[in-house]
Amino acid sequence: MKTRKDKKIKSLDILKLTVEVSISLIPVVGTTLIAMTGLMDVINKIEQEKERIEKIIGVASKESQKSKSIVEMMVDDREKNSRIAYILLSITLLGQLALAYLSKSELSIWLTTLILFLAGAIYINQTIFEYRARKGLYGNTDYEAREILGFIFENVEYIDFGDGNGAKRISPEPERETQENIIPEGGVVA
Amino acid sequence: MNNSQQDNITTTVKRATDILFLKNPLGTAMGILFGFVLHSVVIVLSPFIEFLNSIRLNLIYYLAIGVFAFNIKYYTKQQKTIPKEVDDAFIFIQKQLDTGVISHYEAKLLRQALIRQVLESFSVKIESSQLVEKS
Repeated sequence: MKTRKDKKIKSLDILKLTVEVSISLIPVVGTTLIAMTGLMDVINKIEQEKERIEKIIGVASKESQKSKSIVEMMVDDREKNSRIAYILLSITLLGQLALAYLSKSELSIWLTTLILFLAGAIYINQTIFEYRARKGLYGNTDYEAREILGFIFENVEYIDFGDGNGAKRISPEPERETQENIIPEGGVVA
Repeated sequence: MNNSQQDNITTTVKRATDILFLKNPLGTAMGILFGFVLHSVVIVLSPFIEFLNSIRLNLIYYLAIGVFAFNIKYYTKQQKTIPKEVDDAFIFIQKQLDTGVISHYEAKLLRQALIRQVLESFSVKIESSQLVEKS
């Protein structure tokens, strides 16, 4: 039968163990936090560099952007980003193949699937975006209207909002399916 | 398929793919690459540096950290970009649509008018600043 003393010793042991585990975890947690802070700094620097490059590209293509509507500019911007995303995903895939070959380990099937799935999803997203923009459907919903405004506010410095004739157009002229007149043989079209 | 059906289907598919962090494809791809590189570095160096053994996790965690880290700034920045008064106008239009005061077509026109107003305010600002520069 367990006495009160035994129970007390057991609870003291658990407390001791918890304190020991906590103390041993302090350096791990601390180093992880420091590493994460460093990581965030690196990410911020990469983002700043990206913004700087975008600024240069924005200035260079200012003239070509002048005649385009806001939605067309959004499509171009997304297309440019998607192209770079494809390149980065291809690098990851090749890196994975190289690592598997060099370390004689198995290829991670699910990482390959994830990359292919993402590439496919980016393609679908881009195609639908272009389709909606071409048909003049883009901007119909609250979500898309907010996207357009978000783009405008983000790129205030790079966009020339004057179109020579008032403010810039929002959407391009919608593409319409034309119905061809069928001319009957020997007949006259009214 | 009529225009309205096309509109609904393409809107749904676009939103569904946007949810997968694809609104910012560049950030997501950078995050995936970053996670993969970090995981490879940890695996290669863990026999030499003991500490790395404690953070040796499955690749999925590194990918998740990478994707999250490269997207967080984009999403927080986007939420801040639209001014409050414009945001309130959007909420008002949506409320009117939900209560049935206006139709979908009217809501669309109102949203377009709102965007045009913002654009015009920018073009007026730019023109006035150019005039100040000239004088």
